[in-house]
Amino acid sequence: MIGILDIGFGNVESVKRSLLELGVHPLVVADSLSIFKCSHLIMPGVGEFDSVISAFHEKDMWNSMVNFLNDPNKKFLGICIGMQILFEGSEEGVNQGFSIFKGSLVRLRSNNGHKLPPHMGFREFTSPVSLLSSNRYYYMHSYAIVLSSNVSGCVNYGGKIIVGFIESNNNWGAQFHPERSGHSGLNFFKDFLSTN
Amino acid sequence: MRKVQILLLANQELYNSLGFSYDKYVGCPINNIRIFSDLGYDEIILLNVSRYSSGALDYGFLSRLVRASTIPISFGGGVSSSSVANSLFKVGFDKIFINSYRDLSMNELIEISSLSGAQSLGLCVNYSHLKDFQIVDKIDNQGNLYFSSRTIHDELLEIVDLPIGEVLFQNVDLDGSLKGVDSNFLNFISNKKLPFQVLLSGGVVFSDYPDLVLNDFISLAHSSSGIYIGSLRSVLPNI
Repeated sequence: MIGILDIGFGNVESVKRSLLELGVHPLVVADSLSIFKCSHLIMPGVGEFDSVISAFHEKDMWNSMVNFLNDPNKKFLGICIGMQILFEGSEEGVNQGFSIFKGSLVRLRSNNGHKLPPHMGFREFTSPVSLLSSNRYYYMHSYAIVLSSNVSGCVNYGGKIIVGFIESNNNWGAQFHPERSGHSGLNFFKDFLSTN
Repeated sequence: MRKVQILLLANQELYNSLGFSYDKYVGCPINNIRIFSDLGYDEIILLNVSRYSSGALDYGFLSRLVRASTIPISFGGGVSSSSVANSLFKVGFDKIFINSYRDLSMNELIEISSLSGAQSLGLCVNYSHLKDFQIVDKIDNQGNLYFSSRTIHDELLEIVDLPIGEVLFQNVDLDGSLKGVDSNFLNFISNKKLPFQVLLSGGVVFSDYPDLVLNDFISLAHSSSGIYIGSLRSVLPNI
C-alpha cells in the first residue's frame, strides 16, 4: 500500500493526483495506526518547521513515524518540509526534527548575511543522482541545508550549494516539489515507488 | 529567471486585459492551464478579477483548475482573510497572492505565512510609470484606477519586512501591450537587495530579456494578452 501522510499541512491533493496518473491509488494517512498499513509513505511539503513537528506530537503520530523511518522494510519520501523534518533542526524554529540525517536547516542568506529571496523555480542538480531518472525539478523554499562543496543531488542558488535530494537506506528527502515538476516529477515518483 | 503566465479569471472564464481593462473573453481556464503546463512555463498565476466575479470563491471549481496543472499554480484576488488563504492552500494552490497588505492585519499575514512558509505568500503591487511610479490603491467596478499618493519607493520601504516570499509588480500602463517591460524599473529593482522574489508584469516579451536568464531573483510574467500574439490571437472555447 502506498500512503500519503496528511497531518494538516502539505499539498496532499497534488501528490495524490500525480500518483493516480501513474495508476497508483494511494491511502491518505491521518492517524498513527494507518501508517503501518503502508509499504511506501509520502509526506507532501508545505509548511513551517515547528508547526509541522508540533502536529506530529498533537496527533500522537511522532512515535509511529520514528518506527516507520527506522524500519528497513518501509520506504519514506519527504517532500520539501517533509524532507526538512528528517534533519536535526531548523533555524525556522526550536523543535527537534526526526534526526534521520545530520545537520540543521538555515535561512538562505548571502555571504554578507542578507536574507536571500526564497529559492523558486526549476533547477538542475549540479551532478546527477544515479537513483533518479531526471535532474530538473521545481523548488520553492526559504530554508535549506547549505553545503560547502558540491555532492550529487545538490543545486546552486544565489551562490549557495543547497541539498536538493538526499537518501539513506529506506528514507528519501526531496527539497523540490515532484508533484509540481511535470513529467520529471512523475518519473521521480516512479523512481521512488520502484524501490523495494 | 522563471517564465510565469498570469491568467485573469472571472466567473469561471478567462479574460484578456489591456491597461488593466478586463473585457475580452479568451477562453476556458482548464484548457489554458493544461496548455501552459505543457508549454515550458515555470508557473501559472490565476488572478481573480473580483469586479467581474459574483459571490464567494467556488472552491470546487478552483480545485478542478488546480488538478489541471502539472506546474506550480498560484491564486490571487479576493484573499481577504487567513481563513480564505487556508482554504485555497487546502484546495491545492502552491502560493497565494494578496492584493494589498493593508487589507489584512499583520497578525493575519503572519498566520498565513506560518501556514505555508513565507515563500508561499505573495503580494501584488500595481503601479504606473506614467504617473511617477504611483501605486494603484483601488480599481472600481467600472475599471477606473485610483492612485495613491505613495510611490513604489515608499511602498518598498513598507513591504520589505513583511512575511512574504514574492512581489508581483504590475505596470498598469504597459499591461497587455507587448511593448517590453519598464526598463527603468527593471534596472532600479535589479540593484536592490530584497528579501523576496521579484516578478515583473506588463509589456513582457520573454525573448527580449536573455540577460535575465541567469538572474535568480527576478522573473517575468506574461499577462493574459501575451499568449495571443499576431495571427495566433484566438479564443479557446469552453469544454
